[in-house]
Amino acid sequence: MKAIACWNKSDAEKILRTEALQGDAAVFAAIHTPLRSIKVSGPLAASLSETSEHSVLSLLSATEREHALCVVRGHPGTGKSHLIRWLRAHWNVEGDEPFLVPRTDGSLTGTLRRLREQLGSEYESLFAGLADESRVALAGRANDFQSRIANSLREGYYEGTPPVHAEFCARNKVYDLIGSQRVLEKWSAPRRILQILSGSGADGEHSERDQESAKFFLKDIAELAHAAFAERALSPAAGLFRTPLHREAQKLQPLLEAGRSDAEIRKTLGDDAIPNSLKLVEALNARRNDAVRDLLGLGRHALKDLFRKLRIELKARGKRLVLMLEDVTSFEGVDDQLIEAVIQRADVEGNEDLCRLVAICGVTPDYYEEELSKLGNVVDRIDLHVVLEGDGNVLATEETRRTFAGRYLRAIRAGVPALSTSTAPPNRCSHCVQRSECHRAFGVARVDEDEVGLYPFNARALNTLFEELEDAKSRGKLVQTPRGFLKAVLAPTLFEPQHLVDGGFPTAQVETTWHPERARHRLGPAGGVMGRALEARTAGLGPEDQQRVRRLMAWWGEWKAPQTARDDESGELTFGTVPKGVFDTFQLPWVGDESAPVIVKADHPEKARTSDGAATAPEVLPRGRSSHPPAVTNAPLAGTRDAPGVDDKKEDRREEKKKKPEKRFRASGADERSSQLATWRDGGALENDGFWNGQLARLVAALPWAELEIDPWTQQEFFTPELVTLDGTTGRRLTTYFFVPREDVIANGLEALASLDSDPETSPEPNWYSVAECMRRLGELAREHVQRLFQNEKEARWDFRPRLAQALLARAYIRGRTRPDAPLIDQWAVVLERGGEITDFGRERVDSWLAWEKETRLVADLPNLFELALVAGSPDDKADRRSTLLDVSTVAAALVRFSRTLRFDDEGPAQELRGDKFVLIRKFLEWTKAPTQIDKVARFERDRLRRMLDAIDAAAGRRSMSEHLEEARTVLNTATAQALDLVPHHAVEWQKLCTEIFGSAETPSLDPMWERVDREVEALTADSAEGPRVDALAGPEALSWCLSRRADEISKAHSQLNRLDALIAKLTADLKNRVDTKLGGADDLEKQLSKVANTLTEALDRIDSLLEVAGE
Amino acid sequence: MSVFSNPQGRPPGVRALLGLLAAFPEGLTLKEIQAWMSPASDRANADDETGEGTSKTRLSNTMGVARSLKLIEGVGDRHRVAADVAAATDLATLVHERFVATQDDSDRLLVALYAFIVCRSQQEGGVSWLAQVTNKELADAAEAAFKATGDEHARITVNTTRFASWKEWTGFVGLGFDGIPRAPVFFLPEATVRIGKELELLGTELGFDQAHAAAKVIGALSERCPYLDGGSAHRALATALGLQEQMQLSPILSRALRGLNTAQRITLEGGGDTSGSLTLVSDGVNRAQPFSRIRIRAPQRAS
Repeated sequence: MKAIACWNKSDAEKILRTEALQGDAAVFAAIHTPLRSIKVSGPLAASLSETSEHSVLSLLSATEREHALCVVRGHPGTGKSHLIRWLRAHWNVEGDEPFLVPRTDGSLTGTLRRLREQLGSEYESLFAGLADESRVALAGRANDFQSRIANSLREGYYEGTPPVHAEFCARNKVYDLIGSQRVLEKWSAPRRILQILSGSGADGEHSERDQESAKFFLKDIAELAHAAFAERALSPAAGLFRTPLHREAQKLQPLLEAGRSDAEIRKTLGDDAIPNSLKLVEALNARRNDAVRDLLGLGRHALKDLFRKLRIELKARGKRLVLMLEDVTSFEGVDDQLIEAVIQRADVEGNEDLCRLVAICGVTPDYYEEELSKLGNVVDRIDLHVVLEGDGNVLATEETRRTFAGRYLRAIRAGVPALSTSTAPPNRCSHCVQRSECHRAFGVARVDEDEVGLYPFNARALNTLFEELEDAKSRGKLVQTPRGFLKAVLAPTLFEPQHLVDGGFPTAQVETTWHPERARHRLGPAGGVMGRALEARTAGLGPEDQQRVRRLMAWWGEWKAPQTARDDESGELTFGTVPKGVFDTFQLPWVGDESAPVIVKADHPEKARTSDGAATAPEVLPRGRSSHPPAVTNAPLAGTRDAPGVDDKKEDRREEKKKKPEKRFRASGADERSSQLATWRDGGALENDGFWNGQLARLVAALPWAELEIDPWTQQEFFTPELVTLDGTTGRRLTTYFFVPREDVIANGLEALASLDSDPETSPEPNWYSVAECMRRLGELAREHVQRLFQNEKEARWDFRPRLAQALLARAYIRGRTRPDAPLIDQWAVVLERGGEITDFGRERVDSWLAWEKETRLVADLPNLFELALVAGSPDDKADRRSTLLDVSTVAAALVRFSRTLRFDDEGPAQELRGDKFVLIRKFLEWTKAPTQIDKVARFERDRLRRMLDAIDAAAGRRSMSEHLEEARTVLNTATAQALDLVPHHAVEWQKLCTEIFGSAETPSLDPMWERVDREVEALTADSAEGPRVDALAGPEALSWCLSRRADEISKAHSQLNRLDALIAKLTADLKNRVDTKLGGADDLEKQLSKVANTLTEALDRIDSLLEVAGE
Repeated sequence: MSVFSNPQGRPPGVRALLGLLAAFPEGLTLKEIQAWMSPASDRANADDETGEGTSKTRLSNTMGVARSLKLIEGVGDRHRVAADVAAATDLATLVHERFVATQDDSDRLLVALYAFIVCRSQQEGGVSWLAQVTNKELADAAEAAFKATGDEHARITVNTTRFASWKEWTGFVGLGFDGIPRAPVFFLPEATVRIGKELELLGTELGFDQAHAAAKVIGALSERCPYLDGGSAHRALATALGLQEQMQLSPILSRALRGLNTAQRITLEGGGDTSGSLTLVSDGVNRAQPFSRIRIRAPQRAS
């Protein structure tokens, strides 16, 4: 289809700039969209048979109506003026005197001028002395206004009770501050308020005026504080006051910059934080009306009096006054008078001289809430509330938007001269030679009986351009309104028809300042899958054409999926749902593919069948593009529950999806995501970094750790959500942080994941692959990170598991749980043993051995934790650990090495490892770094045992233990019994030792320990005689030898034999001593002496012989 | 015994088994293997004959898989790593070879089901269709297609209970991803890793850094990977599914070649105007790309 400009720019301007055409009834009729469902309330609402505009008109214009006050409430641009103008156009009641005050004339002076004009010269006397047009320029009036406001803050300005905060203003000499030269020059508030009151809006242009409130806000106080801060010529009181005011301004600033309203600021900061600012703003607003009136030269009741006089005049002429004010906001300053005038009923006592009145006033919700509802009992006197929602209800659905646009397109194409109030505009599409092609490519709107082409828009462009509208200045204004639609959706395109012909469309103007920044860059290089697709597919184009393609796809296309498809009806190729014909019309190169499968639409099931009626393919397993008859005919149709146990949730979801309306894709969220990630990727700060790091952590957690050969311990220690972080999102640079670099593949993956999260069912296939590729890259990065963390001095990755296994085995050795010459699987079992209490074989060792044992006590649970590090595959907390297998590939070999050499593997990474588990490992491994190696300790212990066994053997006189001990028992029993009175304390000691060795003195029996010790001694003797000497054993053999000795029993035997020897020695010495003493004192008892001497001599002989045996 | 009749025999377990046996060249008895690989908490069940729900079952399955894939061999009552496995540098490639060469009807599932997915994706222009089917539907459709081949594929049965194992082994050999968060597919076919390895091996035969006719390289590749375009399994299923022979490569092969080209491991050269040229199908982001020659780049070895 050839691009044509089927309308004139001038017609578009005339019709879309409706405010300039307020008198053109034909245009109004051509573009008017009837309001069929208006929200109404109030006492009169019950009388409405339906909620259409016609019903409202009938109700209000009823001839019998004495009085009515109707408030049309709606945000700027929702169509209040349009409705009021429509009411005016259709108000046709004899005897009524309707006055329409349009928004453009909505200043007080404008209103008075219009009233004057409409009433004519016969009413001229009513206006005498009222608000003549002033010759003073806005700047001059602003200065006057500011001076009056400043004066009104002086003490004694008012007669009687002054407005609020008079004492506060006087004390701080606020008038001095406001009236100062610098503030006069820098403070913009007075000018803004006057602009609003004069009907030109804060921005000074009628077109941008949005019924802003003509009052002071906190932003004005902040500006005042900043301006006054540098002022030198201030009174001391005002000079002091500006300091706290400036401090408060600094608190206000960030919130003001964030576009917060006053109410939000007060909620955020609390009134206590900004007491001076709040008082000042209240004081100024309380004095504003007086200043405005003074400025306009109006008395306090001048306007009210005017209307009263007018109504008296009209009453005299038998007329009813119908006052239609498109926007009351402009009357701020005198609005109280105006409202008072329109609420006065003629049918109450005292007002009999007033004419009947129907007043219809347009107000914004803000004005209604903040001003109108404060004016006494005005709200109670409103007879009918008409509320227009943001979209004015003519743009509520995609269909109504199409129709709304269609009316304008039809009128604009017809041209202003062709419009009339009596007939519908001619539809130029009806006679267009390109009609069918154009309507197929761009779509149509059904307007009345006409099919109006949406060219150069399509339905999607109208929707997305409208739905993305935002208040460009972040003032929280509602801009998705009919006015917004005209200004920011239709006008930018329809004002520039020549670009369609010269190949410049879609122009940059399509993306207006009412569209947020993020949307204006939609589908740029960071624009998700489609953005990447466009980047790749338009690589050969110039920058202008690249931008045109981008804009076309961003607004005209369904850009979630860069899919080339073929329309089943027309056979035309589409890319992102934009038909190839649209590209051709806009003189853009086709960026889709040259072929695509036929899309079989779900609402045409018959198309899934061949002519013979056979199913060509299951709906979910379509046959695709094959031209051959299918070889497989028995594949079940999708959704056929032909077998029990058909899984699963997916089918249920499909069913649910069929029932549900299609979810609207939230473009704004996608734009924000793209924008945030693009900024980050290009080196900027990442907005919403908490969210993105969380997303990253999810991907990291889902990595195939087993495939990456990263054990579960390392994963759990070094890849926690706290440590996984996108580059630049934390100021800390700990080596343990897993920093993920700014790479395309990462940004794409994160964006794709967010897209999948928002709608996994419809997120396009490339997103799956983007996530997969991102995960693959993250896997590589994770391996590199682990390599860095665990890099040893040889720059190889240190695996802690073999080393830890060796340490645990060493610990088991010194605790006597196993020994190097035991079967390796038995040793392995002990390594993973829970608890692993020290055995008798582990006690009573050489000091260095016991010191090591002590150091290893802190890790009682380490074997259990260690097992987790060996789980083959990713650990699943829910899985029963019993059913898993352990990967001991590296551990088994390490244990073999260690059990054969008692040497630990290398020392581990050069850097100190962090993380709870690794701190524990480090502590645990510390003891293995002690200068005394385990084989040395084993040798010490070997020597100690050897010495003890030698000593035992010697003590026993190379006889068996039983033989030796039995003889000692006999001797000691005899000696202590015969010389009890001589050595009583030795007898007691013997009794004790005897009990330890023999169990009981009465029924003595040797502990089996002595037999085992006997065997140890015998083995040692045999070893010395024939086999390898114990002294020659080293390393694991020495350790095994030690561990196979009952060191506790050897020590005990050695100790008891020592004590036995010591007792005998002491007993001998004592007896000798006592005998000498006794003999010296008994010179007359020769016979007794001889007997005792014989006994003792005999005992001593036996002891001597025993001692001799004992080697003493 | 086959891989897929041992559903608990999965790659990490097999890799662990091989690692253990490698540490004991003389081999280990089953009891020893069990002692090494069972967690301590399961030791108490060592004498449990059934081994229900314990590592014993998993080990038995793992051993079964390792034997099916001829990764281990028995010597008396001992088991040890097969000689060629010990010499292999890449277990995944070896396992892939085993799956390709298997004569076991059950184990043919890996190649056959993948070939089915390649063919169906070729018909659909992508793999999105996988998100629309239930496991049962996929199994039924694949089995019907196998039967329709009339050759040895017809003996392959598809049971959804084997899908979990199939996904893991297919992913292990480098043919796709399992567990992509939020992706609505049970498995995401993606053959870049496998094809990269196979082309590297082909490079040693055909020569690195030389321009080879695209059809020749793809033909040789399909011999090593019979599930890819032109491979024996692919041909059988393409016929059964009524897929026309075409110059456009399957989306799965196209994606892999495009990825390798971007990663500069291969270079796709020539345009579509040469006879024997092939075309990478569009993946949405990139348009269809014709090429007639492939240059396999010599692998960059770490110094």
